[in-house]
Amino acid sequence: MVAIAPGNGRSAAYAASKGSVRLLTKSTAVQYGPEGIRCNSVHPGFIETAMTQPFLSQPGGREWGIAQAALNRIGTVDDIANGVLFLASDESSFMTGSEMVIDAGWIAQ
Amino acid sequence: MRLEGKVALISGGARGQGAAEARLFAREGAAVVIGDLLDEEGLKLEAEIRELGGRATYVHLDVTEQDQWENAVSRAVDQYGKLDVLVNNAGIGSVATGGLDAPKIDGTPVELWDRILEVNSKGVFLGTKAAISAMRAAGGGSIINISSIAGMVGLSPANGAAAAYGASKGSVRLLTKSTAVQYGPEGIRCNSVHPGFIETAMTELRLSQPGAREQAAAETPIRRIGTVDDIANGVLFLASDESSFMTGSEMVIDGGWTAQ
Repeated sequence: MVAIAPGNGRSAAYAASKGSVRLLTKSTAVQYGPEGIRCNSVHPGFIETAMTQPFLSQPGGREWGIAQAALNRIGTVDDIANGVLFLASDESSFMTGSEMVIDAGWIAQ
Repeated sequence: MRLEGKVALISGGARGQGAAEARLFAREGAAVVIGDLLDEEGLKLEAEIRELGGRATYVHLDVTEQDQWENAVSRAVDQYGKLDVLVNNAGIGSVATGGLDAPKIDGTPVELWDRILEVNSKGVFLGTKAAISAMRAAGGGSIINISSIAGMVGLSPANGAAAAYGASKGSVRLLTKSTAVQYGPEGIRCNSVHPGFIETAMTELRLSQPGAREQAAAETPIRRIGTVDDIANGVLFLASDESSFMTGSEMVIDGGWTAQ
């Protein structure tokens, strides 16, 4: 959705790969919607995981992550799991091809 | 229950998507203040929710009037002790005829432009303005602004949407982000919801035209028109603590219409 500088732990290849997921999601939604197969993308912001642990444990890393978030915190894996549950359930049965951004307001800025 | 202990105010809550949200919120444990211009329908819904054991109060609310917003927020705080959730749901369609013959820009009367912007855009601003201090007092909150797919892409008058409708819903999309950024540090979240073609009183006349329903379904990858419950489920998720790391986001519920 936005490019992140390498200093913040993200390479161009990572961004390109995630951008491809965003649009592959929409193609899947359009191609298989008529068969009742839904497809949505989830876009986590800074989440506390094994993948982000090296970055967050650097001096200033956690503070930087928190400063990007309007809600002033790092996300948890449960924050993402709740969104994924909603999309998996029939509660979201009219949602397909959508982007669920769960980032505490980072890219809203 | 997913909204246990929460107090919610829903504008345009007497019918359509707003009423579906009010019923669902009450079932999930929230006390609901139903704001609307439609007194009879609002009072009927209040009674219906109470009969089912839920907590609901109807209050007359013209979203273009600041004092009526202040009154609605006061009712929530006086009656239920606080305000946790605001759904800025009230809105009007392209024209009084329910979206038929929506004018193009050069044929749009200034009065129509002003009226749509006043209800759909200024109404959300006034609701947010009125709710902030109560939410701050509650230690945080969640504001859900109902925008539209017309706030994401340009719809043609053939889709029943005047340019003023799109402009108003686009303003809601960005007002949402400003609210998220300004009040996030205080624990007040704000997200927008973007319904596609939904079966409501607002779309009824348009969808009842010969072939209109079939065409709308055919243009939607999931091949159906949405229901008010499809939207209410998304609004419930955003109102609940399940979405506590979400703010400034856009929840598009359109059956894949804008993914194409």
